[in-house]
Amino acid sequence: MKILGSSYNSATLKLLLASKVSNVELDVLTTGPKHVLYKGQPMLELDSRVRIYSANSGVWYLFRKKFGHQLQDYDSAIDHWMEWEMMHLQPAGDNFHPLSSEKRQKELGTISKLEETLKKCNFIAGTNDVTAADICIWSSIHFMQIDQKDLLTTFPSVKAWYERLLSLKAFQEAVEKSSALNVAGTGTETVGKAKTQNTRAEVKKQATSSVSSERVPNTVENDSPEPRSATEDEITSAVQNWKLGQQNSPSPRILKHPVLPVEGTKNVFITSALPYVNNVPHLGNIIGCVLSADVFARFCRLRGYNTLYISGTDEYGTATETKALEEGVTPQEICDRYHEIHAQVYKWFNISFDHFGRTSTIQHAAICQQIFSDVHKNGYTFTDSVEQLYCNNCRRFLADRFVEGICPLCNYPDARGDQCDSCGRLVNANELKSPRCKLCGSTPSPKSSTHLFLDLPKIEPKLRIWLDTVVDGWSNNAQVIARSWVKDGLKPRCITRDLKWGIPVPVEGFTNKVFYVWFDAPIGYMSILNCYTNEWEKWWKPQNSVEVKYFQFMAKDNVPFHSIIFPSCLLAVGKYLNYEEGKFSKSRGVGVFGSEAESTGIPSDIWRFYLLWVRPENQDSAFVWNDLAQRNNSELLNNLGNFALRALTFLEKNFDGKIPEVNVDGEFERSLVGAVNKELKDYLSVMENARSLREGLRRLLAISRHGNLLMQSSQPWVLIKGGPEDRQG
Amino acid sequence: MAEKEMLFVHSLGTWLQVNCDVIKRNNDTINMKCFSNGKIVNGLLAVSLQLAKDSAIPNVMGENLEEEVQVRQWMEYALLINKLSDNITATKHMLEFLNDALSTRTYLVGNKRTLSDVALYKALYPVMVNLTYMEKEKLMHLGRWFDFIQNDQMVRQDNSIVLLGRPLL
Repeated sequence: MKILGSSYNSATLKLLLASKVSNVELDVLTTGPKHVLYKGQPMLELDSRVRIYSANSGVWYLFRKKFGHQLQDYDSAIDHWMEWEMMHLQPAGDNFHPLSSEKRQKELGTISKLEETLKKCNFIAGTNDVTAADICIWSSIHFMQIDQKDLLTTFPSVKAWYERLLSLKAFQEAVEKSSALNVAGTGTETVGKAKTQNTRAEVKKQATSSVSSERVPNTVENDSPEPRSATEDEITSAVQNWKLGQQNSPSPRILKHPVLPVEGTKNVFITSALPYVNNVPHLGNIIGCVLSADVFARFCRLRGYNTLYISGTDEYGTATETKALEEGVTPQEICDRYHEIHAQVYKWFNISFDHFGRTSTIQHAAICQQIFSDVHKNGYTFTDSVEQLYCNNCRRFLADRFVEGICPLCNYPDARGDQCDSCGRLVNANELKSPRCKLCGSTPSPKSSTHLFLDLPKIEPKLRIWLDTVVDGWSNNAQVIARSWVKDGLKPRCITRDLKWGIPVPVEGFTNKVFYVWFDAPIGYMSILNCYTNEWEKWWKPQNSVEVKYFQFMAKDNVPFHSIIFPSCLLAVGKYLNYEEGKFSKSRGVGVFGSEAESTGIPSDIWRFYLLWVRPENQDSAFVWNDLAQRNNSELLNNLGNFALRALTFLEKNFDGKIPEVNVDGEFERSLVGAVNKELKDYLSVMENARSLREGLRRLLAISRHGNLLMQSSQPWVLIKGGPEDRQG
Repeated sequence: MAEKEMLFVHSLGTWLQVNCDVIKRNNDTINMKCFSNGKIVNGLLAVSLQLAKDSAIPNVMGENLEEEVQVRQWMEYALLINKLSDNITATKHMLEFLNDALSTRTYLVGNKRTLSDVALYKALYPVMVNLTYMEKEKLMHLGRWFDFIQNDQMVRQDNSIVLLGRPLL
C-alpha cells in the first residue's frame, strides 16, 4: 500500500498516523496523479490498486484492517465524529475545503463541542484507546494549531487529549515524517493557511486556463451572406422611396378578435400541424411546424395582411388510451395535462397563436361526424370485415399496440402487435405466436370485425384534377411525396377503429367504434377554428369576392394525410376545397424538449433565432450545442445585437433619443440606402408565400451587416465631437 | 438545513426497506435509536450506515472490506454534495471529479449496486436537474452512470427522470 501525492497537510498526516498506529508500512510518495478535486490531497492506493481519495476513509480502512470488528460497539460514535470532522472541523481550518464557503460556525464554537465530549471521556468515541476518529480530529487540530498557537487555551480537555496523544510514540513518528514532507515539498517554512491559499490560487489559475482552451473552435463555416451593393437604378428608386417615406407607408392594422376574412384585402389563414398530445413537444416539433408558422404569421401581420394563425393538440387515438391505462387515469385527464404542457411551452417560445385549441371538443366531434355523414351519404365509403384479435375478458377488439406475444420471425417473447423490438421487423398482430392481451394477459382470439373504409380509388379522379391545380404552390418535398402516392394508384383506407377514446361513428351498427385518429385530426383545423369563432366557415368557404390564402405547416411524415387523405374527404364532401396550400417539411428525431429549452436559461428569442437559422428545409439537420453558442455569438450578438445596441445607445447619449433629420443625398448614403433596399426586397420576396424563412433570416442579417459597416466606416463617435454640421446623418 | 438531510436519509431508508420512523431530528442533527442495542446513533453518516446494517438487502456495503471502504468514501462525497447542492460553483469541481472517477466504471464500487450509488444519486438529483445540456454533455460518464441508476424505479422513488444524452433536432 502507498500514499500518493503526499504533502505537508492534515490529510497526509492522518494517513501517516493511521499507518503508525495500525503498524502497516506505507510507501510515502510525494508524486501521484494530479488530484482532480484539489491539489495537495493525498490518496491511499491499496495493493489491488484501488484508490481511496478520502483520507478519513483511508484511516478507517487501515484501522479496520488491523483491528477487525473489535470496536463494533463504537462504530456509530466513530462514524459520527468522522463525519463531524469532515463537515465542521475541516472547513473551519482549511479555506480550500468545499464547505469552507458555506455559512458555518466559528472555529471556537466548533471546538467547544469537542471540549464537551472530552470532558467526559479520554478518547473521542468513548473508547479506551485511539480510534480512527481521534486520528482524524487530532490531525486537523494539529494543523489548526500551527496557524493559531493559542487555539486550545480555552479548551483544557481538548488540550490535555491533544498532548496525551502527542506523547505517544506513533504520533511523534508520524508528525516527524509529516514535517519532513514540508521541507522536501516546498523548501520554505510556509505552512497551514498560507499554503492552502497558495494552492487555491494555483487551482484558480488552472481553472481559467482550462476554460479558455475549451472555447468553441471556429470550425463552422460562416455561411451568412456578405453585404452586397446595389445597381444605380436600384439606388435611385430606393432613395426616392426613402424620401416619400412615411407618407406612403400604410397605417398599421389593429388586431381585433375574432379575425375574419375581409373583402379587398389579403387574407392569410395559417395552421401548423396539430402536435400529438401525449408527449412534451421537442425542438423538432417546434421548429418544424409551430415556430415556422409563427414566423410566417408575424411576417404577414407586419405586412398588413389580415392574418389568422391557429393550432391545437391532437388528442384522440390509441397512444393516449394506452398511456391512460398505464397511468390508471382517464384519457381525458391525460389530454388535459399534456394540453397544458404544450400550451405553456409555446407560450414561452412566444408563439403568436390567435387561438390554440384541441380536438377533444364537442365542436370537433360535430364537424367530424358531419363531414363523415356527407362522405357516407355521397357514397364514398364501403364496409368490409377485418379479422382482428378480440379479448373475451376485456370485451374489446385489441388494437395492434394492445397485443403482445412471441415474434414469429425471431421468437422474441415480448414482441408488440405492430413491431418486434428485438429484430425490429414489422409484425402483423394476427401472426404473433401465443398472443396475449396487454391489459389483462389473457389469450385473445381472432374475430372478424366490420369496418368502414374510405373509397379512395373512387375519389381519385377528382383528387388528380385538384392536385394539378394546386401542387405547384407546394414545397418541393410535399410535391414529391404527394405525386408518389397517386402514382401507384390509391387504395381504400380503413377509417374506423375498435377503440373507446375517439369520436363515435354515427352509423347504425358502428356506434361502438370510433374514427381513426388521422381521419379526425385534420378536421381539427376546422373545429379549432370553430371554437375560436362561430363564423369559422368564412375562412373555409369564403365568398367568391373574398380571397383567402391558406398555409399549412407540417412535418414530412404528415404530408400524405394532408395532401391525399384529407383533401379526398373534403372532395367527397363536395365543398370547402378552394384553398391554396403551402407545405413544409421538418426533421425527425429525439430532441431537446420544449420544456428543457426553457430550463437552460437561454431566452426564447435566442432559441427562436437559432432554430430558424438551422431550419431544415430540405434535409434533416442535427442539433449541436457548440453551434448554438457560435451562431448566437457571431450572428445575433456581434452582428444584429451589436448594431442595434450601438445605434440606440449612441442615439440616446447624443441626440436625446430622437432620430435627427437624415440626409441621404450623399454618394455614400445613396449607395447604402440602395443596398439595404435591395436586401429588403429580397427578404420580402423569400418571405412572401413562405418560400424560405431561412433565407429571409439571412437577408435580415445582411441588412444589419450594412449597418455595422456604416458605423465602422463613418465612426460617428469621432464626428460627434466636431461641429453641429457633422451631426447630420 | 436538517430538512434536506432528513429527506436524504429517508429516501435511503426507503430504498433499504428499513423502518425510518426511528429517525428523529434534534436541532440540526439527525439521530436514530438503534434497534439492536437501544443506543442513539448521531449524524447523517452514522445513521445511513446503521440503516444499511439493519437492511435485509444483501451486500449494500459491498462484498468485502475493500469494497466497503470505497462505499464509505463515496458516502462522504454524497454527504458533501447533499449539503452543497444549492451551491453550483462549489459542486462543479466535485462533478468533474466524479465524472473522472466514473469514466471506467459501471457502478461506483465493484460490479453491483451499493448504497453509495443510491446515496450519490439522491444527493446529485437536485444538482443534475439544474444542469444545462451543455454542462451535462461535458459530464458524459457521470451522466451515463446517473441515467443507469435513475432508471431503477426503486432508487428513483418520487424523483422524475432527468434527461441526459446528446439531443438531436
